[in-house]
Amino acid sequence: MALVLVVDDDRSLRHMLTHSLEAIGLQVISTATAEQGLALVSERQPDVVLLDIMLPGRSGLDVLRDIQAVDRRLPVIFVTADSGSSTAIEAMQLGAYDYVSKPLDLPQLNSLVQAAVDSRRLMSVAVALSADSTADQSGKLFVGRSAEILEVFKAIGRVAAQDVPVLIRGESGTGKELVAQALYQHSHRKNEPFMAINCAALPDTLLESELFGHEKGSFTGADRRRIGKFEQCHGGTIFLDEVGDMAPIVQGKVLRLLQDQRFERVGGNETISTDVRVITATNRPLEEMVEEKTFRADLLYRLNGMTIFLPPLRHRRDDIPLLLKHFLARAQQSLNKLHIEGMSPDCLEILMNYGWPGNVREMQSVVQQAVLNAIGPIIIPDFLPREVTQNSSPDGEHQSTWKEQQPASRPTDASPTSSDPQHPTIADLGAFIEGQLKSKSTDLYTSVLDRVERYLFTRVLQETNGNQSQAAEILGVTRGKIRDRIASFNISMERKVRADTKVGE
Amino acid sequence: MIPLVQDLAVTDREISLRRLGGDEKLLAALAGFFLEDAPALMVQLNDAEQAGDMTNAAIRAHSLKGLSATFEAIPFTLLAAEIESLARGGPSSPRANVAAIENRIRSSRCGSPNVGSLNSLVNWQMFC
Repeated sequence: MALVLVVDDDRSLRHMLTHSLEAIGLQVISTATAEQGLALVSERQPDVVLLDIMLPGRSGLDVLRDIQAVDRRLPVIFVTADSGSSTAIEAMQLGAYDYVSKPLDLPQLNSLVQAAVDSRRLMSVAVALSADSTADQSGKLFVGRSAEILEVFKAIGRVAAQDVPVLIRGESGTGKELVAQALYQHSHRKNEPFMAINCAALPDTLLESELFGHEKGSFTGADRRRIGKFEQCHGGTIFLDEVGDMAPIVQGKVLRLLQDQRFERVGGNETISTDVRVITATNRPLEEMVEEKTFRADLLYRLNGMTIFLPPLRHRRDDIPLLLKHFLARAQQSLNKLHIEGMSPDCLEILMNYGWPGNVREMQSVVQQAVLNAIGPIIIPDFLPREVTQNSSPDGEHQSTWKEQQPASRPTDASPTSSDPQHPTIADLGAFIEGQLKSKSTDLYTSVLDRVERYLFTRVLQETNGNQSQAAEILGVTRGKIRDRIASFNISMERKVRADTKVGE
Repeated sequence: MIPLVQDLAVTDREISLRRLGGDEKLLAALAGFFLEDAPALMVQLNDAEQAGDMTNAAIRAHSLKGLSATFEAIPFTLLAAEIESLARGGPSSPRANVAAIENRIRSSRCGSPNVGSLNSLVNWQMFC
């Protein structure tokens, strides 16, 4: 019978775990102190240890190191009331088997412990990373305790200390840059530079120059040599955000850099070596782009040393109250509204039922607006932005004021789903702007442009029956921009079966 | 730091039971532990903060936070977390604020106990 050791000063937790694990056929011994726990590891050689991360007089992380000195293969599962991201990441970096936070879900914990027991039997290698102590963190990077975000913390912990490229995937506003920063701060390059570049923000030629530098005279306006980010960041970490928007020529150079750690400046002959860790992020469907030949398959394979998926906020609803509290506290401080006490239950219900298409970034803006609008100590629904109160539904789906379509599928040779051609345009925009002005929005420009673009691109694609080239011509933009907006606005392109299509001969 | 939502239920028996795999005997046993251990922890917390021993105060608040989480006692848990943060000199205060802790203990208004409230979560009036 497998033996589990529980080390926790909370006797109710020891009782709970003993009761639950014995019911699934495991033998359990328990103790309240780290010293006894370490003694039992040596004497009884348990198969799994459940360890409180905060024991009296001793950090659970220190106890883990001592356990590893005795038996490096022993799976240790941390149990704690503190689900801070830094603790989770550090625990995983030290090689903890897993990390669970209170309140415990016993059926899930039983499965986890059983898996750890099986691992102990089957595997003979240590679970994870080197026992590097992590750097101090200035504060929580992430707020959340849902199972989904905990997996993100664990993934960061598993890969941060390695030099492998990491691809971070997730919708806009989910915190991809935060993940990149966390990876950097928990890496051995944490004392070296960290540089972030948004690949969608620069035209192709400027992006190449920004990344690789250029020689004097290499193009019009290049009046002197410029050192690019890959050269500046030698020894450090570069974060390429929106890597799906990278032009093919730049993709080729980045691929070579990933393969050989070498490159030439634009217009230059000298080959330069560099040592840079590359982290990338995208909300684009890169695999589809590879099929469409707009993104290099070999580059995707190189970028994808490890992929971390960030869940959209609607898939981690357990974290919504915690995030709201976090942003509320920040807004209180930054806007000097210290009299704000909290939110009413119906306000929280509206926010729990909202779809959060803009994810965490949108939440920060909504909370800030609510705090600005508040005229008493309690935030009530009246203080929320109108698009939130109007679009909150019990199933949590976002209902837009402007017509939105189904999630995007393949955009080629298809037409967008037809929308209501009578859908209001100028009048609705005007009302929206007035509402935002009334609520003292600090994000009005971006919000309005987003809505205008969403309507405009949908309407033009309807007009051209889904033909992106024609749409690009009408709008006076590149096809790349059309594809980007189709993805960003979830414009659905359903296939249309034509009556005159011939199959076979 | 402020409570997020007013008038939350003191405990939630249904959620607590679900997390314990439906084991009512276990829930009852854990409730018994809570009723025995929480008062002592709260006395220790008060003693520690009165003595200015913020390290011990944080440890006691941390323990209370963990104890109460089992019963989905969100107001209690949030309050304990807040006290722990204050005692650790968290981001909302440069150093532990003893007076703030006392005020929070005395003036917290977290709603009325409901069914299954664990004897008003250990004499709720100690907090209210």
